Amino acid sequence: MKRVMKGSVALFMASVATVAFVTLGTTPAAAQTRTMEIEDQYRIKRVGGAQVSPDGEWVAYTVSTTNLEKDQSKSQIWMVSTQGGDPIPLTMSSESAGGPKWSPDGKYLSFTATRGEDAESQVWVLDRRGGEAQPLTEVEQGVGGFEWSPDGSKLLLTIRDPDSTGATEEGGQQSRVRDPWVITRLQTKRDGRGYLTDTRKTHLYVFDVQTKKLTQITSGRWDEGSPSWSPDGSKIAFSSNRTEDPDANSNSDIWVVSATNTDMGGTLVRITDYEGGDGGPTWSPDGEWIAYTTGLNDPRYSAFETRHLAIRASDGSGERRILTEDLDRNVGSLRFTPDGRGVLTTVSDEGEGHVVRVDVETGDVTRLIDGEVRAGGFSPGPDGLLATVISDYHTPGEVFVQRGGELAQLTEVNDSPRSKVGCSSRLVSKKAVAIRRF
Amino acid sequence: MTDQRTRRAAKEPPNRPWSFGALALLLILPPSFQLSGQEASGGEDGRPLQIHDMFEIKRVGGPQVSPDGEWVAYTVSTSSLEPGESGTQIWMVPSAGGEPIAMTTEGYPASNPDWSPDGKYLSFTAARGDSAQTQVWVLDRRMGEGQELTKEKWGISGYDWSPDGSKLLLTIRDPDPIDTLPAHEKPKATPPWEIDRLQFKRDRVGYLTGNQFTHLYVFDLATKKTTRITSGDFDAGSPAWSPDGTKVAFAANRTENPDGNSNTDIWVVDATKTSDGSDLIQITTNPGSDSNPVWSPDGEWIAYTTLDEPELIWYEVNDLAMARSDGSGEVRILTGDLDRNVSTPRFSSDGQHIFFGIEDSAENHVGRVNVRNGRIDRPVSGPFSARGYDLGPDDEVFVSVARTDLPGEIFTTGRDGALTQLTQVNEKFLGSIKLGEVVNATFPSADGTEIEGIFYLPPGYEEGLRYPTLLRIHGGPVSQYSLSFNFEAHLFAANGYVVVTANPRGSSGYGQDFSYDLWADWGVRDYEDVMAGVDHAIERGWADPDRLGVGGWSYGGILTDHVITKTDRFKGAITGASEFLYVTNYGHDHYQLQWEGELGLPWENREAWERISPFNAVENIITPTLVMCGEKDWNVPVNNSEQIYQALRRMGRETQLVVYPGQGHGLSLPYQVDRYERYLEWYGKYVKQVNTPVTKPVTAPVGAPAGGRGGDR
Repeated sequence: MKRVMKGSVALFMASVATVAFVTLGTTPAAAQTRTMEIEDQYRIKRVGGAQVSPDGEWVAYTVSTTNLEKDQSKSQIWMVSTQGGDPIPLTMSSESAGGPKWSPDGKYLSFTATRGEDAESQVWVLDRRGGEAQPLTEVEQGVGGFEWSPDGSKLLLTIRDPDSTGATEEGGQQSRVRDPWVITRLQTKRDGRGYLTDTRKTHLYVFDVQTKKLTQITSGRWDEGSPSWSPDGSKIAFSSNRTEDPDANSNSDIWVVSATNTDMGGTLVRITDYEGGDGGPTWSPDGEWIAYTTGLNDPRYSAFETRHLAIRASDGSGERRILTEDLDRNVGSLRFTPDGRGVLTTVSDEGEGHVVRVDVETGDVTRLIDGEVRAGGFSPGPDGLLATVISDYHTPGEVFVQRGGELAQLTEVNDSPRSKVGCSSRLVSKKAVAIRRF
Repeated sequence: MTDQRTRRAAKEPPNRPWSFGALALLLILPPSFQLSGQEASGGEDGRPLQIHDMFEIKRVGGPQVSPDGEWVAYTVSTSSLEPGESGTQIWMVPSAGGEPIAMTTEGYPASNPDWSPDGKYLSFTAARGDSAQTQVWVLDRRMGEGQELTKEKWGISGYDWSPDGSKLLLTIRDPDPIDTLPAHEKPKATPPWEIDRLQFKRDRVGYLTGNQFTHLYVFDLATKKTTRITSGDFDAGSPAWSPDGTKVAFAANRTENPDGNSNTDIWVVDATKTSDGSDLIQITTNPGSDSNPVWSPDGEWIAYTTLDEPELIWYEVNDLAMARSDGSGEVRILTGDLDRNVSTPRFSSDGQHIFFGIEDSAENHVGRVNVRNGRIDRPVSGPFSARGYDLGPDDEVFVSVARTDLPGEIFTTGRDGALTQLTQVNEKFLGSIKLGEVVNATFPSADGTEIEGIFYLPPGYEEGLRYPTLLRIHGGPVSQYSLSFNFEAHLFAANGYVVVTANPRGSSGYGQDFSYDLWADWGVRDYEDVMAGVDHAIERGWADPDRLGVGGWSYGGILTDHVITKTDRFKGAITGASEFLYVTNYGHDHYQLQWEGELGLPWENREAWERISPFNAVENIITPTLVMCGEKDWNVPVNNSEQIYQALRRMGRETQLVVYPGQGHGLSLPYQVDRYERYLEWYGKYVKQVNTPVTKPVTAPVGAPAGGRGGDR
């Protein structure tokens, strides 16, 4: 419930953010040539998913565009040198691609895309030596998400169960009178999805890149999400609401399962026991700890509950330690620093979005990117490199990289004179951004 | 095959009827050229080849070496009956050998790979995205997928990087005038064809009514602007940049009545502005066809291929020549003594040699002539077919090589000249297949002329046993069976037949006299030649003289018609798309220029037309004969097949007519499968005579089989 609830909250928030963007953008700025008009909403390109290559040389990111005439949005993957320079388009403009991730050895850039007729979403790879993307997975019902194993030999896939009603089978639907919706769940509906009639669950699978063998590692009447490889690649941490009726509460917990189990997750180690939602697990570099997000007070606060950062031993022993009690702000996705002494995350703070380091020992918060900006996500690279997408009142998100306390803007996707977008493509006031090393 | 030809036709400017290229289109090539694919002889425990294996074999093509010599890009094409699954993909492999990398995505067909001169981009042509016109795309060698470089409204049919990489030379065909009309002005029904040209039709193209021409354009990469550089009522073909990038050489027939001759010449045009035609520099003045110009590195010379006896039409063997690029008219013929067809000239990096392809005695080689002393050597030669080459920075040759047991793979001579194989695209498939032995032999024909043949024995052939035997005849007539992977022959062998393929008189690869021997005398000495091939197979102990079959498509069908009017030795025949009563084809097939050259005009020289018409001896045919043709074949039209069938049926002979709906001279893939099935069924019934009682002709032949030269032996 919590998991699902979070999703809906995020959706709600997203639409607020978009509106806020345009509204704020109407404030005249130095770089603007005119005031905004309605079509600007569809002219503005949206940048996301910045990912630093393992060697720290490149940042891959997505640029999403909207075609108002066709009522169609597409996302294209690009990369730009962390030293600056002309960005290079990595995927073809005619096909949408998202979720870029570098393989740990840096030899491949992978992404998800739905290409071809009647195709499902699959993981594709671009060879760093050159050439167009080649499909890596061939999962019949498509791939929801993926994570490279630390040694790059495997992918962890989240895959939704096949549709057992056969509605997608050949010769199905088209001419048929639509079946009535038959509902048995407590949670009956979801915006954008419709009535929740099926019992298809999302489970975790391990895909061997060499042999292309797919092994299901979790199963049952629950959904699993936000999986994370242990540093040695032997285990997977994930979140799942395994209560009697997940539709009735938001009590997702963190679990650990062997990455090589052959009984579809028959044996799990439970890491958390908070009655509200625990999510977003990530491992410390030594594999001893799992950091995750959790609530502080009462699960009944539900959406009003601040998301905190906690850590707990990865064998499930001991108690949870909440590190952000004093901060009292929502944290985002989590990543340990390479020395394991800090956890990087984003915080939402008084209308701003910052990237922070939280000290594992003391809980001290260092704001790595601070000020009147919104930093959407982050990707750490070697030697303290940090890539992120930053926007401010006048500037839709652009890719930035922080290196040794210096912040550099790498992209100007909304700079195209042809688009004549009534917004800025460069941060109006860099002084508004405070930078610290981590 | 059809598929391949159709796709190519879509990319390249359609051949004008008078061009040399057009002739090749009319003449169906031996199947070996159409399914050139790949590697090493089959596994000992493999299974025999099956019809659907035609979709398992991948075809490689177009090797292109990167400017630094490190990589070779090439194409891999697959055929499939599934819609959208046939296609061409671009790969590259380290030129020193290693793991190949797919450069384009499966399902997004891409062709014509080339490198930008600075090596930063791998370019190709593709029709992708919304406009779906063929454009030039580039792959950034740093990383990433193809990005559209040109956005020409009507698409492009060819491109070439300028030497400094700042421009592309584009070949663009004028759009169909109807396509240029706004939607509301387009006619609702097809308007009538209004025809006033001498050459008014072309197989697979249709009636030639419009004035659409193919011209040259220069696309500037920095400004994205396109400038047209040629104009006028002619087609500009095979363009080549001068080394300094200021001029372009091209081939065009700019005579008053290009439908009435084959007089293509080489011209040079300024690459910076639109020429109205008056300022073109004419490089060659030969009344035959000059084409395929290439510049010497110093820009002083243009090498090209030339045919200087146009009156010999397709029987002439061409030459490699070079002419001064300033139009002074100085011409040197470089292969006067070679007496073999040459192709695709290319200067060595120092300009001292010109490389070229050679068609020779059932083989294809890469040759090289020293421009100073005219000495010719062959960097790539052997019992194989090497076709389509590129040169590395040190003139090392990269070429697609096919053998009788290996569909084409990319090979290189490296810097040491030793031929090594770089790709293995069909290795896995071939490992699962057992192929029979292939014997390359020569034998004397009736008049003592040595004829070359390629004989296919069934897999598991046992010495001392005689096998049902098929004589298969190539199209052309001016082409050759080569030592390459002949899928059709292997398929017949896999079904228990010995297969005889021979290069009879008229074939290319054996010099002009050998080819010209067929002139206006079809079905005589070429008949003796192919029959000598059958007799050779009997003498060697392979062929069962009582179980012989014959057949072919195009000229292979034509000679089959002659064979079955002259002998009753064959128990079954299959004649595909053959001409039968020549005079009925005048004005109906698309060969007006060639027939007039070889036979004269039918109202002036009727006897020549009748003499080579098998129709006039049709009553001699007692061989059970399957007659096949495409419904809309304007190359060798279906009326011929109908006439054969009608006559045989009227006389009560065993026969059947199979007409392929909507098909031209080549067939689409599903019909190719159907055709193979019918081949095997007909030969199985009448030649192999398995599970079927021998069927004797219903009616005894009227009179004896035709005698004459080399008749029934």
